[in-house]
Amino acid sequence: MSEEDKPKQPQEPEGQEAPEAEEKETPTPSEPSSKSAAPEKAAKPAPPKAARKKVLSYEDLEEDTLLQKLKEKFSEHIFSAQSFLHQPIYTVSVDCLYDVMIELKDSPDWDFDYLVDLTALDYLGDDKRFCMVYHLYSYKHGKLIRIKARISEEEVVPSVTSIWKTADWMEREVYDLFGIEFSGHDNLKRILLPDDWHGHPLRKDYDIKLQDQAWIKKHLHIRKTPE
Amino acid sequence: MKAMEESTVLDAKVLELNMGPQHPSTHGVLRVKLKLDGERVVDAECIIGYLHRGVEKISENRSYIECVPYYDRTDYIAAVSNVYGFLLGVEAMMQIEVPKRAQYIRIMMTEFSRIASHLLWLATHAIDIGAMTVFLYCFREREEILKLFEALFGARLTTHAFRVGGLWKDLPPGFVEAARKFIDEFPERVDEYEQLLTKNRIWMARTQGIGVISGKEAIEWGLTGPVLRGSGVRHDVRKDRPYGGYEEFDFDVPVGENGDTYDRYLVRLEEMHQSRRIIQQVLDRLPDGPVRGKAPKIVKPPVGEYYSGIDGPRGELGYYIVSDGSAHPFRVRIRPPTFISLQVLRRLVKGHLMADVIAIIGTLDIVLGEVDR
Repeated sequence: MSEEDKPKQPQEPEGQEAPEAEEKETPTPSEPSSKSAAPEKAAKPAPPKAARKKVLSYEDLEEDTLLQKLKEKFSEHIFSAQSFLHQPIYTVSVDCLYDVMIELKDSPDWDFDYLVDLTALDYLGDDKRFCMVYHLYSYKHGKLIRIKARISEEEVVPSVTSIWKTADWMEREVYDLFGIEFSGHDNLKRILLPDDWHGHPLRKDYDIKLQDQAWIKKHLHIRKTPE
Repeated sequence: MKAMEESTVLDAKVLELNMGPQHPSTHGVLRVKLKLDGERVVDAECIIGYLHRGVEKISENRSYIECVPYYDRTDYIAAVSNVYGFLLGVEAMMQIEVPKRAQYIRIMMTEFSRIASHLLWLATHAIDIGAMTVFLYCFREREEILKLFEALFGARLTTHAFRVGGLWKDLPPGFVEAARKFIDEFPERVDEYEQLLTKNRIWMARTQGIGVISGKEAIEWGLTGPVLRGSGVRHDVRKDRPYGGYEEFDFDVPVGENGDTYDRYLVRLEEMHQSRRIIQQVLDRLPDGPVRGKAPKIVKPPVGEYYSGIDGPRGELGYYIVSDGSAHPFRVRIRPPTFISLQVLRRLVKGHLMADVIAIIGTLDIVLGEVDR
């Protein structure tokens, strides 16, 4: 990878600011509203707009039974439960992530037998840089939830392949594109990119124009064209 | 073909054979490393990524509106539903109301796209197994649907079908009549395929008992759509988590019993009939009114995240959108149904003959553009 091939990335500062707003888990309701409403206000001063648009924000789930049950069992490892647009989000510690997942799948009260999706987010600049995101669905109860766990760059995430077989390729994809390692995954190697590629493209510090020039030279015999 | 290292040429029992990436029955550039004992498959490994374009990375560097055409090109066989899933997510986050007429037309076009996608699947699946005639018949009907797409969207394949808040423009004159003509003739056409295949002894011998997976296991593997329903699990996102107005329409969710290639074939045929039913209802009840709601020129969802899942022709297609309040998505994760269902190939082909591998790849209905993104 060449260092000189790093043009400025216009929205990177925004990407860094956002996690701070989300990190506090209570984005001040005034901020998104002013942001989203500002261009409209300038365009046309329609009076019913304020009434029509309710400010969307994360709402804390206090009375949630799933949160209470999890808190009983895992106490301080469960950080919070929120909802955004009626989609519940549970933030847990990565230390007990595996146990929480087993509990969610095997307990007849929850029965989350279907791992819908598994992915990661990169909050570059934070102490805990990455955020693992799991979407779970229960066929029996018809409920969709999201589990989040923040990890730092060095931390290893427990693999959930032994709980849901479907996690196999999804974890390989996260490993490939984010460089997050999973412990207990028996075939953790790159899946979309070539095995000898360097770098993890979905990281925020990987510029969109960046390519592994050494790889391209070796395999495609294309020398980098002078700019 | 090369013998495995641990055995000499004479006592070679297990052969390693590369199928693809350039192979007509892998539906794109899929490479399967097969380990064969005679004609039996001992093991198989999928190697993918040949079509990886980094759609998720590109999305982070484009505005929400500029993202949309890229999703046309992930699953290019059913481009209409791909765009639909993403826009539903953006509209939910922006709290944009889509007018009723636009909702109905969207549902109609999505179902047309499901029929077109299933027709292409049937055509290629049949030709893989050796039934040439069905291929030609299916393309005849698919052509009619693509003509409808062209009339409304101006494109046949990468349609860029919908816009934030509704549609680009209203139905062109003569569209409703043409759509009605198609759905009136369609059941007869499906009967023609059934005559050629459903009771055909060769077809039954090649598909029954091939690639069997139980409902419980299918859930464990995260299978969705017709592949899951073929195993007897009655799950459809359109029914269980209705979106975009689907709750107003009557349709059944067909399921299979044995979870084999034949049942998945029957499920998909029945799904085409059900899609036709939905289109019929849309045409009968199509309301008047605008086709585009009030949507701002610059799409800037508030800080937040949303998972929008729809039932595409190949299974649950999800978009997990994370917004940081700017005009570019912080992250768009596409949950591709075929990427997830392709990993079950290894489990399904074990113990089958090599010729069945082709039938099983066909029955999973993969699109490599979506697998690799």
